[in-house]
Amino acid sequence: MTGMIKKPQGSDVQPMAYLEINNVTKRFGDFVALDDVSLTVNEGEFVCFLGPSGCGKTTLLRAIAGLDFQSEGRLVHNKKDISHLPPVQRDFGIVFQSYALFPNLTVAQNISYGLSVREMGRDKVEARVRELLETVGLQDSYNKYPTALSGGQQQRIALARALANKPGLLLLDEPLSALDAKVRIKLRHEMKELQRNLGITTIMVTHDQEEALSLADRIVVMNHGIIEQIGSPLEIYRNPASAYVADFIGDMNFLDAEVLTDNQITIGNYTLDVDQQVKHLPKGEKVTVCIRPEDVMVRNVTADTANVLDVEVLDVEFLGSFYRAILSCHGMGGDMEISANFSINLMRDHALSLGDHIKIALPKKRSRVFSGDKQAR
Amino acid sequence: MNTATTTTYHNHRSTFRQRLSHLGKEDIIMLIALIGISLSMLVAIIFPLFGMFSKSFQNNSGDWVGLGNFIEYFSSPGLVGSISNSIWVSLLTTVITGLAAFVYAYALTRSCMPGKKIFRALSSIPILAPSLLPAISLVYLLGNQGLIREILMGESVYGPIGIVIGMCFYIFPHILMIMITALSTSDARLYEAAEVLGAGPVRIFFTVTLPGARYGLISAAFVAFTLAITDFGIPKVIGGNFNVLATDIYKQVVGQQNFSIGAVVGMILLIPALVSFAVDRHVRKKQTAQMSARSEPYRPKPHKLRDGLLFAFCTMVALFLLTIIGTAAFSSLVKFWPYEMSLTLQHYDFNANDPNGWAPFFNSLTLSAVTAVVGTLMIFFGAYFVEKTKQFALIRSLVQVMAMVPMAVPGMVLGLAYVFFFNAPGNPLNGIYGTMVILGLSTIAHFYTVSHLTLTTALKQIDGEFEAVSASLKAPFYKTVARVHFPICLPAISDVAIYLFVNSMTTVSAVVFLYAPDTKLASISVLNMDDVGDQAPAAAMAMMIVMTSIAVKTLHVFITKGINARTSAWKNASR
Repeated sequence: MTGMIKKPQGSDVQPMAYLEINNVTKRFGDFVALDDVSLTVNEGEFVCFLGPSGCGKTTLLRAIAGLDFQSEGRLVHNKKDISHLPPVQRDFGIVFQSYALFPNLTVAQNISYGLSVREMGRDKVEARVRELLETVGLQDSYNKYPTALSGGQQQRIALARALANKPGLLLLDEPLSALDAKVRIKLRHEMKELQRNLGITTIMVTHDQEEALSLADRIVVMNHGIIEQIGSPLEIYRNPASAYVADFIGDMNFLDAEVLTDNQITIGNYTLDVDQQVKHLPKGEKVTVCIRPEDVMVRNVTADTANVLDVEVLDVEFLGSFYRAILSCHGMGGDMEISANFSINLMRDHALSLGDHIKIALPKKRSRVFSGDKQAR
Repeated sequence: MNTATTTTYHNHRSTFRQRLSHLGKEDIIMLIALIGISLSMLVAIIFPLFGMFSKSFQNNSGDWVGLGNFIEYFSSPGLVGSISNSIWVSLLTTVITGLAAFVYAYALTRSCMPGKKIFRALSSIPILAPSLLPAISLVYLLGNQGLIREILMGESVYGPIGIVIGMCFYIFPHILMIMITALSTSDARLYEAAEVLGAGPVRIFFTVTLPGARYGLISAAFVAFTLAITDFGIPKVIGGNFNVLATDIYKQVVGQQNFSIGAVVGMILLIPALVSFAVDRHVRKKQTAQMSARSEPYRPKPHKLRDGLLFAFCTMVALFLLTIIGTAAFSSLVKFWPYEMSLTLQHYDFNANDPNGWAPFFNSLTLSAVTAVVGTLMIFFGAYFVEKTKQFALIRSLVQVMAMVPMAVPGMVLGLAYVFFFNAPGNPLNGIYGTMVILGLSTIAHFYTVSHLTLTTALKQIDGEFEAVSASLKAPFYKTVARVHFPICLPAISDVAIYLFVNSMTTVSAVVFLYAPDTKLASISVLNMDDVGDQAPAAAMAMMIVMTSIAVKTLHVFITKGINARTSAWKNASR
């Protein structure tokens, strides 16, 4: 996992390592917030640090900014060792969840805070502020105070201020978390576009997997101070490297199973084919099978289909564009339950109701197997 | 083993060196400022206290005598009598003031009686006056030639009676503030729940109101007791032959030059203050946990009988406060109490009445102004570094701890400690002894804690990421302090400046040990003139202090209005 260099999606040229994080460890007393973390960020890339609170993602961001120094390890930014430089001497702009706009200064004063009138001259500073305001679409707010703006507008100003000095690196610390859902999605879109247009290398910390999936070129999934997986949104979603990642990203069914052969496992009375993921495990080893609700096959299941299960519909929850069904599979032993997505059409065509018995299948291409039972996860 | 140790040592040293060499320009400025502040605090607070502490174990020629001074003190019946005098007088004061302040605070927070704003304003009158003032007024009212001495039915006001009445006046506003805070933090939902469950007003009072305010009440009681037992002005003026601890210190040190016993009494006076400090800290923690963000503030509903009774009570208390201050004002204008009651301004002609003339008053003005400006700035930066910086955690926590100490040190004890420390031969700072500098230093130190807490609270409300943002924008921290933190904190800063100004005008306790003839202050001048029997000029000087305080407070109201007008642009801008 360390030092993994991946091309951004759709790029042909070998990207440059712009920011290198080498074996960074951070301790607070006995608590290890970051445990020997290494990764590389390429120029122009949008990287998301994703994880639950306390996973170390913010600590890593603050170490990159120099706001909290790492206990061990090295940081190289644009070929310059910045490991011990104070934040003032590093080259980044930062946006916080709280916006951190200076309330007693106008929008223009906020944006121009880091621009030196002495070096640039008054006219150039003003021109730059106007340009930035245009970039974030708030030309009319020049003389307003932050409190006169909505949350989304304030966050745009904070973004403009962070970009004012043309920093090499843009750091975003949960920038959208304080906004309500609609504004969040709109601003998310705008931010991605802005980042793509400016080509600025960006690192965003978030606990919101949807945000990470939609924004990032690469996602760094973190847990308990270590990196669980680095990869493109699609990779992370399709091929989670661990049960933890599988659980954290999207919805997932976890089924306790045992290894039978090199490519078969058993769950209760059922024997299921899997895609050669259990070769290295001995027979009888406890494993967990993961499958996403949308990957559970519910249509066109015939006797010939592989991995068919007989299930009873326990509960159906309407979620707008589809139904989420809770299915119980008696043959699996215990009270094992599986969630599956039922399309509106399916519900209509088959007139399904609670208590109905149906057949479903777990396609082997869509199932992932991890060693250990789910309690050990 | 040996090698391993050496290696670790080297590693350690190199990281330390590395860190030092990586300190930016700003860090160095910050470090110097922090060291400056902590050194000043050590010199102004910790070293003097330690000086007094060690003096209590030495005889007057400086030899170590162990507990000898304490044994001597506790075997002299006269001095030990002061302890019991101090305790029962302070207890009585605590009970009376506590009850009165509770009812008054209850009326202000839990009733719909008319004139709440006026009652609240009137209640702060005593803060504007030196504690000597109520004592002087009481002499005029109830003394040998008092206007209404008959109401004492032959008892003398010189002694516990006078002390207790004077204390009640002086302590009332301090206790009232704590009580108001305690009673304002209550959840209306609790009352609604109690009513729905069928509890009557009496049951609600005992099951909801009192328990909700109990921490505040405990804290108030301890603060009242401490203020009473450590005040010096009132027993000095009206105590007669009734000895208390505070006057003992004064007599032992100033009268008999017996510094060792003075130090012992100082140590004893530290006890109630320390206990009260500890209780207050403990209680504060509990109190904050009570009110959650989801609590609904209580809104009283009109109730004729209750509101009427409370109005009557508050009127009585307000009349008492007005009578005391009015008597001082009146007596300062009367030709020759009680024989020649025509009005005159002659007592204000200090140049004719006192060898020091107007000098003490102007000394006080200078001291107050300098303390207000220098003290506020120093305390602001101390609070800023403690609250907003990340580096140098050790020095910062040292500053934070030292900032809390003055709260637990009575003014008299601080003043005495200054004598021991600064007057010691060989102290390089000996030169400031007898100058305005030592008066300023002791005053700032004396009132440090409240100011520090006020500014810390204000700074806490400012977004913690401002430092990070300005660092990312390559702006040095001092630029952000000047352009952002200082303007945002301006209301709190002006509050602290006024607090320091008014307290520097009125304080007697610490400075009484530290003034020299040419640095005499107005409050001390009151004390001295009263001592030599010039009561009317003493009252006049006390009134000068009151009027200055009122003027400054009025100015403060206008300044606050100005600040609000300027800040409203960014505070409550409409969307």
